[in-house]
Amino acid sequence: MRDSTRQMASNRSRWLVALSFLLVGLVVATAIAAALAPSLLPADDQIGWEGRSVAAGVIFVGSYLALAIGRIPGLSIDRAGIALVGAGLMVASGALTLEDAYKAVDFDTITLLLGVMIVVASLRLSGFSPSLMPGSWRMPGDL
Amino acid sequence: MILLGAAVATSGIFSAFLVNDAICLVLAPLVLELTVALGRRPVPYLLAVAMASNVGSTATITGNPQNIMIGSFSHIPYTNFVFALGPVALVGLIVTVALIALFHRAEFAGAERLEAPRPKVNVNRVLMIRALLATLIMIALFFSGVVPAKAAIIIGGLLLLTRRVKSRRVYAEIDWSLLLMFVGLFIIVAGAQHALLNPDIIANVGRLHLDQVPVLAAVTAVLSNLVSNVPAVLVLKPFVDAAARPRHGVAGDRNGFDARRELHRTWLNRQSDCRTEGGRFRCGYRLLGIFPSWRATDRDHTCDRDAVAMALESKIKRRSFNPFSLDAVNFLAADVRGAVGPYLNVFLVTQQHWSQTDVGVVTTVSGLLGLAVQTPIGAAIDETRAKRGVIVLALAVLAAAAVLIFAFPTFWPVAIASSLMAVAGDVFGPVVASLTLGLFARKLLARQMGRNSAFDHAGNVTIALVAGAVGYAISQRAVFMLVPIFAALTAIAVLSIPAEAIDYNRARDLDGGPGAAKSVPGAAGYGILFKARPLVIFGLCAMLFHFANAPLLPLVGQKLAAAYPKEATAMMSTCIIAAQLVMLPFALLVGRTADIWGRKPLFLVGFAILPIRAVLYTLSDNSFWLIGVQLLDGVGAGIFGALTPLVVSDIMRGTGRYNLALGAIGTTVGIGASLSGLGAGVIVDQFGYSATFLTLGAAAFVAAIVFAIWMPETAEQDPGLPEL
Repeated sequence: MRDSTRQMASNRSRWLVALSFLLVGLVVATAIAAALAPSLLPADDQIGWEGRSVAAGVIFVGSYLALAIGRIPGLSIDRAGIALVGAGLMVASGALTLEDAYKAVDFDTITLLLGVMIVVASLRLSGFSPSLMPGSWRMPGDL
Repeated sequence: MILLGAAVATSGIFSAFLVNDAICLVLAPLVLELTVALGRRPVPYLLAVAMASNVGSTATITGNPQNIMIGSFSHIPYTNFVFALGPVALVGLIVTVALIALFHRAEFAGAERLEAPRPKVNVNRVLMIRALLATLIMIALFFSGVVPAKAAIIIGGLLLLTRRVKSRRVYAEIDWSLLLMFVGLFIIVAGAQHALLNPDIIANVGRLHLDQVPVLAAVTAVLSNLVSNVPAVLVLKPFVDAAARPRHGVAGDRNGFDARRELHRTWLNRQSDCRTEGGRFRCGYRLLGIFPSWRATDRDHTCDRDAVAMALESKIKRRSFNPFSLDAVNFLAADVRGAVGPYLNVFLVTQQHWSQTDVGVVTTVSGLLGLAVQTPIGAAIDETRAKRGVIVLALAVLAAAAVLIFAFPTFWPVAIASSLMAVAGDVFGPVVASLTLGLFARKLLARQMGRNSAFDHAGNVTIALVAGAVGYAISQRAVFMLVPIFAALTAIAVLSIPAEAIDYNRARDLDGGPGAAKSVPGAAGYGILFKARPLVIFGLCAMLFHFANAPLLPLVGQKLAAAYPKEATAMMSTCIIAAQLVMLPFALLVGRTADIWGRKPLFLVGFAILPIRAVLYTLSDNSFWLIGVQLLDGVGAGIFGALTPLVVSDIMRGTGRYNLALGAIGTTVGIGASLSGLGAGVIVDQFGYSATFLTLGAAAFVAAIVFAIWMPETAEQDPGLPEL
């Protein structure tokens, strides 16, 4: 009985993994197709441009889906990695150039986060914990 | 109670100024240790920390990552932000205390004072004073109007100038992966914006009225719960920019505020929902990890998860199942599917001025795709235990596709959306049937299948009326927005069925008849589809039936249109709605009698009506006559709709391949229906309408004969699988 439930569980995850591989493959393939389109097709720009839009849409939806789930079943990638892969595919598909990608990063946000994180980190490392302050309402604080 | 207040206050206040994830990480283990030492249940206090840190973090720009982003995009001064949202956060904190106290009354009922042991913490006083001082200076700088990023990074850098702590240890505390995710997200969103957004699309989305605060708040709330909040804020940014431009930016700022406020309010609700649901392990984990997402999956928490999980586990009660939930699912799912199908073609041709070829390509491709995946989807449904999850997923896909069509009614989006819809639409029939199987004992099954079918028809009628009204009163395009609404309602209905009430083996027909199952440990192979003779016969008959049935309505429509070109559409709609109304009582009747009379006689009635109908059509061209005969369709289809899942379940008993079989029948039927469309057209052109009706009638007659002779009775007394 236990064996059969375990087998069912593995069957289930197999389906899930197969599905997720299929979707990931689809997204990557779209990106590559869009990347190759300009060199393969004649100068006719219209189709290339449309393909790029479709690819950008597919990459966008794909990475947001993965980000919403938080992981990709069958892979051990995390959110940060997913975002990185998505960003890479965006550049690869030609939806935006590397220069535009650099410009898109809002360093204001990153800097502020980093700064606050350092401050919090040094608070933690000093052994400070918030409970020592208002928490001392009941315990005679010795600090 | 005081402890609760203290937990909320500290967590809230600290989260307000320092990014709240970090505060959660500091506080959660501490609270856990403290409560366990006091002999209290940790859950309410941990919840308090989590909720308060979320609520508190709304107060300032530096409270959490989303605020940091909003602050940076909008250039709202730190002080203004605090004045606008500080009060909101304060009220939120009070509400948090009240809610927790309300939901965990028992915990706080006793008024005895508890003596707390002093927590053992290693404190480095010099370092701490330094860090505290730095924090205070930083907060002061924020308020004095220095750009927050500048203040934070300079103070942070200066803090590294120490001989007591190695810089490397500080770096190890920093969540670099979060920063990496931000960079990646910025690029992804910019790419999508760059390649996809043009003024047209912004105008389209603008029709959603994002410039109205309640709408924006709702959209933000939904999006952030779907994809987590940082990505959501990033996505909405360009649209908020666009909406705010005419109003000089200030409106945009306000939008940001309100969106955040709403967002946090829903967050609060969601967390309390989570808890009252009697959360499962993951849920509890989430509550700890609070900023739900990346933390929850990426990093192990220092606190004792198992203790919390156990505490939560003890709260789970096995809830009984309310049959009304399933009825609601049937009714609403029909609404979801019905809101798009029939109207898409009309909308594309009349409003968007598509050519018939384009429409034809889209419908054919999506139809074929739907047909092709039906059987594999059935197999997958057999395997999964997350049957409710499957429905919710399919609903989400349908809703997304409908919104896609609404927003961008151009070729590629519509092609993609209708393919998605075709695939997701395949899910409902099998999953609902298998839920029914899993929820009801076999004795009640027939009656419930009839009831399912009846509610399905009622849903079809309702949505036809609602869609008609919306299309007439607002616009044809607005009809598509009914899909997300009904999808949300359906999801609620589905989730109101407790997962524990579903018997997963019975749901895939693995429970077997008496004696059959014990010898068969697992599910049968896929070859079962061809080995089970009754199934093959049934599939063949069903295919012939639909081969004969499918073209009848369009043919009648053509005849009517020839006679009354103006009223034809209205007449057709009446026909469809009336037929659904006829199906409803028949489905109920079939459900009540299927066990008493057996399946076969009922099915024979359904099969026999079809040839009679076909012949009757040839007798007169009078429109009332034609419509009247068409109503007989309701009888046949009503019987078919209610009995098919039941008969398949009879046949597949003990094999565990119920949905596979149902999917296969669906595919066969689909092939039959599409083949006949082609064939009927040819015959009409060559020999006229009457000949066509007679040909189709002959096909139906063959089906009835085959069924009468070779199909065994499948009801209870009969051993399910004579061949195995």
